[in-house]
Amino acid sequence: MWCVACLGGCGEDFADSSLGPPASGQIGQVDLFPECGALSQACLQQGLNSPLAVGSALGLGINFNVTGNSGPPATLEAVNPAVIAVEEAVIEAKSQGAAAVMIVGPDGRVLDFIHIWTAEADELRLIRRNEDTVAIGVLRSEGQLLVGDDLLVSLEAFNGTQPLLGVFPVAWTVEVLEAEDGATPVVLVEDLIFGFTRLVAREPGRVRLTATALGLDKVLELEVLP
Amino acid sequence: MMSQDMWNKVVLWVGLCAAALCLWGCPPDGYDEDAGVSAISGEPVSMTALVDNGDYDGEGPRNIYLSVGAALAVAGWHYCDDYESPVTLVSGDAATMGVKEIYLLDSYFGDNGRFVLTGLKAGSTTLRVDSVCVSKSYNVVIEPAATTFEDPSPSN
Repeated sequence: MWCVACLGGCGEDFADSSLGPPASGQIGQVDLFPECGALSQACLQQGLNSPLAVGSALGLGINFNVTGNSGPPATLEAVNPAVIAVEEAVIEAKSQGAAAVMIVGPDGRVLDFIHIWTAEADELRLIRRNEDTVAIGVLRSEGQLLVGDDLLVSLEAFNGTQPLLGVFPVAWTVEVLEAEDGATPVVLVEDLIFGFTRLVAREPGRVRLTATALGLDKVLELEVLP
Repeated sequence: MMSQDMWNKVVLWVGLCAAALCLWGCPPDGYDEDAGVSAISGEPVSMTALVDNGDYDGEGPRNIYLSVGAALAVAGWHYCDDYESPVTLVSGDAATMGVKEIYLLDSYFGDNGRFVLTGLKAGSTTLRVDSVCVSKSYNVVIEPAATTFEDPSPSN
């Protein structure tokens, strides 16, 4: 049985995760930390103070407010798996709504619980990162690079103006709009950190990049100058 | 005909029996025997999670309303002579409303038990609260989960 109190990365996809600020459970005995991953700057800044994007997942770490004891082994338990499902230490947003997740001790008694909201994403934003992976801005839908430039980017989900929590798979496609025969103006390199993608300008030309996630597309057109 | 001595013995034994019964489960002075639960956690935004204990004299229907997916922490209470004994909760349909005991890291004197009620399936059921001196029942309504969130304010 997995223990949910393994702060700093319980699942393979979240092994590189950074922890967001904690949120207290309703009973006040447990603090929950979202394992944010690279995809959500909102998570790192706001913790669990945002809905979870439908179709995404989020690892949770636990800190027990216990004196005189270590934290007991505990598991997560979903109250409505049609909205929030639990897979070991990771919660998954299955549909729009809200549902409680309980933290249950080894004897089946509840240590605490928290209500978690889910929302459909209606917008994806491409976030540019610096070499320290700090977000430095939202990418415009088109721009220019010089041969040899590269951009480290991540994709974040929004509902209206509200950033959504959760990590999710992203599928990239590259369409060459203008280039010499056989040339590849931009190459995409998946970073070793989950959720980061590096766009490398290799040769002059124009490309249309499309990132698809959560049923949405985000298009970026780049012109690579010699 | 019963002699005065025999009559005194009967009265004495009846009194002793009544006293023994009261030590086991009589309510404190000024209270009727009663038991119930009270909410100790908040109602989530746009969800329902509340306990209605009726009027102050303990009369009237008692109701619990929950949304599917909602959880509500409740504290048990009773008006019995044994202050510290916990209540036990029994869901009429465990597939409709779940009941789980809360483990408290910090308990206190007179705590009569803490529980989490969870809305599992839309429908109606009951919750029975058993104390050392009396059992009481709540009507439970589990409302369907909200899947869209609209502005509830009336349109002009």
